[in-house]
Amino acid sequence: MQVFKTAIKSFFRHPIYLLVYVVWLSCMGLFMGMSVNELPADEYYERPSVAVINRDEGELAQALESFLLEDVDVVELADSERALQDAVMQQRAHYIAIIPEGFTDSFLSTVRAGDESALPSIQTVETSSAAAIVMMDNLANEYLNVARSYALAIPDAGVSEIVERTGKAMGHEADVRVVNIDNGSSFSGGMMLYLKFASYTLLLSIAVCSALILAQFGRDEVRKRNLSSPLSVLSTNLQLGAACLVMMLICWAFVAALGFAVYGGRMEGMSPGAVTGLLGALLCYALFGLAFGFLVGQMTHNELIMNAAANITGLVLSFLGGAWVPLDLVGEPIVTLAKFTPTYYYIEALNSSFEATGAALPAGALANMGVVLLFAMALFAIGLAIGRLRLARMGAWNGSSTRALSRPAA
Amino acid sequence: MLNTLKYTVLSLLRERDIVIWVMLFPLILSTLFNSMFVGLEETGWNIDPMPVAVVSNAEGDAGLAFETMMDALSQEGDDALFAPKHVSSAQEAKTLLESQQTIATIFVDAQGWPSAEFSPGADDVGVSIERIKRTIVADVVDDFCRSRAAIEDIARTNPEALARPEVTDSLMKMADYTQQMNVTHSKAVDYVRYFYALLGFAAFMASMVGLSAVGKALPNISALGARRTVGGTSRARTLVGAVLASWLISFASLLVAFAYIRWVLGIEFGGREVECIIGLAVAALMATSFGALVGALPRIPFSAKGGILTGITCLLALFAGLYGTPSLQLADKVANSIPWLAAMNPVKQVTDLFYSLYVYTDLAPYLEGLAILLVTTGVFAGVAALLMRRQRYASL
Repeated sequence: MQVFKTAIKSFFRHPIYLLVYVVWLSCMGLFMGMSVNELPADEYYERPSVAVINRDEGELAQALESFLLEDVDVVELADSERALQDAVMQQRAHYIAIIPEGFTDSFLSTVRAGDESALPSIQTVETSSAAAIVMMDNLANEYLNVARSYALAIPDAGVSEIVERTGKAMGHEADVRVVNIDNGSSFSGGMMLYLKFASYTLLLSIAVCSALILAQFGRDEVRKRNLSSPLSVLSTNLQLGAACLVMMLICWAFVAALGFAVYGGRMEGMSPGAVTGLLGALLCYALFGLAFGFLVGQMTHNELIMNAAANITGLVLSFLGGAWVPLDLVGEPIVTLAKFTPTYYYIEALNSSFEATGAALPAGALANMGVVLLFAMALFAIGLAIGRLRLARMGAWNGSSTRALSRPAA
Repeated sequence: MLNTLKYTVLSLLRERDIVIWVMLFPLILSTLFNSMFVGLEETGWNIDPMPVAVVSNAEGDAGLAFETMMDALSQEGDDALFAPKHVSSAQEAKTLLESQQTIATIFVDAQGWPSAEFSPGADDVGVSIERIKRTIVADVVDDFCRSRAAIEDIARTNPEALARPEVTDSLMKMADYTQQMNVTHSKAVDYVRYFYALLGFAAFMASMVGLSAVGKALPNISALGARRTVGGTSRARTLVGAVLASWLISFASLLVAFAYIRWVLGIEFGGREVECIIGLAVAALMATSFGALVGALPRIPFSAKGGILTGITCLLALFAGLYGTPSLQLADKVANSIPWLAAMNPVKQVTDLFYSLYVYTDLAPYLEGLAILLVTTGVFAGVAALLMRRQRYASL
């Protein structure tokens, strides 16, 4: 077990990698998870943040302002161009409405005069939240439409009466119920984000750490020395593999333990099947990370290149697989492309796992984990092929097939 | 010093890892961003008709009004909002909801009043299109109830008003009372921010160049550095030459990335390309001085320094919004609640430099950002210089 011990020692001799990739990146996942407002289970709607700049003292404008600020996150904004630009720049408000001065009076007079073209408008600021703008515009239009109908239907009604009646009618919201499907596990949005981010953490940390171990042993001089030792190649490689596996399990256990320690409290009542599913999906993705690390370790021994390769691949896979951007927001071709990444199946496995009821894993979760494992096996096979080619190039292998490969072209 | 500069540039260009990090990385990631986000913005919001189950218990003609509205909203064509499935029992509707074949069930009671039932699922994290869809369903149902309440109220108070066409028109046809205005320098779109965050990340990653150049000039880090130290060129000239060369390479790499993003991918920078290039020059200077600082840190093996730099860059990039929607939200949240923390994050500063050019009509916020970056550069360079001075190597 000399090789195994040395490999593990060399892994722990690089504490900076452990610290930066395993601990540091996991903490980044935690930050990300904490940024999510945990929604109550019965909250079904999108709650935009709204700012209303009301320049009119009139009753209708005041009532409209209160109506728009119901059930949303209210944002206070100063009435200046810079403040508005700041709000757009920092995404402080999804929807900003400006009620112009004299709105109440001119609204009622133009409505009653029947002059549709002169109806005053509420100004809304263009932000990047297109969905919030459509939703809130609709609400404002609805309110003013009802107010206008009252103004037309009851010609002698004053502003107060119109506002009161409009307010009452707008209070007639439909009854909305949320049924919590009883077969789903309790759910934490933060945990989900953490686990999605773990696709990056695990790939990067495991790939870099395993590539590091393999690269240490793969340097030509070390390899030649090891090959001339009495230990068989098979035994050396098995021990190296075992060391990488142990390292992978350490990373996996750390990432999983941290996630459950922080978010476990919010997931009380989670079924054993769901917990197994989440851990299993994480483990499968860790194995993929190991296979990727093996591949990188066979291709290069330069630590900076390993870092770069793992980081770029991690970022691309996590983006493309839908870990950071919901795939329902991107186009169809990207979704098709996503299906060629293991991250996509890892996230699908997580989603299916949350649906587990009893102790059993849903079939969907198992199937998706299987696909992730297939990706891992494919990369491992490529890594093996590259390793064998390199060995052949060193002239250290005596098999007939590699002799043919290593023979210089005559 | 010119010789040092020339040969440092040449040796840096021959390092594959530098080329990968500083040049290839932004090109790969920006191409990915471009294919993921840009097409989406162009096509706009394109929500397919939403599958909803309708369970009607309306007596007589009571449900006619709601049915008419649903029919209007689900007419075949591009504008159809709903794809309703009429089912006979609540149980059947629940099965459809549970199997996610529908996103909501709409019940119509005996008097024709609708109500809705939803079932939020596990994929409801961050910005969820499912939640937006549910909000739309709830809004439509609410709108119906409110309009009906108003009509009934008018019918009770002043029934003859309902005979007047202008009143019925006003009740039936929703007018548009809002007018969108643009307060920003360029059209507010979210996706440009990913490219800016990427440039921030790439700029900070350019500190690898500074790290590498300083590593080759310091005697306790490489054999080459030791040889150069005993050479005829003074220490200061060697280091200044190395730093200058790193800056040149970083700046050139960032320019390539910028040119690719701006002119090949066609991402807008508010038509202020010259200001962007000045920003990139300052960002490259900041990154180089940070690389020199990390390179000069004593008692840390040089091979580990690359890892440290990557780790720091990743963390700073998280708070600049590089890692997708949740990361962008986190970055905004931190910048709103703890502005000084955002000011201390150089990746965020570089990102904001571009975004402020895009958003603000005047250049004051951009100049502020530039000043913060220059101060940051000064701090990094000062600490690096302090660390490099009078270090003792291999002494007895």
